[in-house]
Amino acid sequence: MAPKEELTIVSLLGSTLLSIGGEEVLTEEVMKDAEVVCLYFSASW
Amino acid sequence: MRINRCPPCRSFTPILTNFYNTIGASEHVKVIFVSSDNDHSSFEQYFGKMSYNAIPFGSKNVINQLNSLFKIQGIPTLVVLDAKTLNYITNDGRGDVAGTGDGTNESKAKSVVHKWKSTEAVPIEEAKLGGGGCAIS
Repeated sequence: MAPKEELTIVSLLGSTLLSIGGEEVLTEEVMKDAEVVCLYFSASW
Repeated sequence: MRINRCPPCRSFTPILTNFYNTIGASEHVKVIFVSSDNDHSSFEQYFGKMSYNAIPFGSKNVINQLNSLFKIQGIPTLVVLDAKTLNYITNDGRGDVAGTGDGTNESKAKSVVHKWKSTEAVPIEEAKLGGGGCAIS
């Protein structure tokens, strides 16, 4: 049986995120001091 | 993915933005917007009202993986994780944040975060997932 792949913040969210200014920033950099992460599933209308 | 019109998103987003602005930095909370928008301009317009990060609009694989992993059946949904272990805390973060009122009361917002931090987080595969607001398809 293949070993289970370990979940990391990059495997979960991808290597980059968008900042509020619209620039791509490294996920690991954004999350480095985080204790809690909230994933907000939503959409405009 | 087709999105039905969703008044709960419209009412909850400013509350979450206030909540994040009130305690995000001091309590080391990050919010990541996972969009189900159909087009880039809708995404940009909506994201422009937020003060936190987002999964890039074109990252469909990541977004689909997150929707699948957390069994998202409706929006808005706020899934809360321990950022270090990525263990699951709750998928009713929306109810917790909405319970603070408009998100600007620091004491209430901190209480919510402290509740999350004191909750025993469990691996995602052991979590009870599903639920949500407006149906997505």
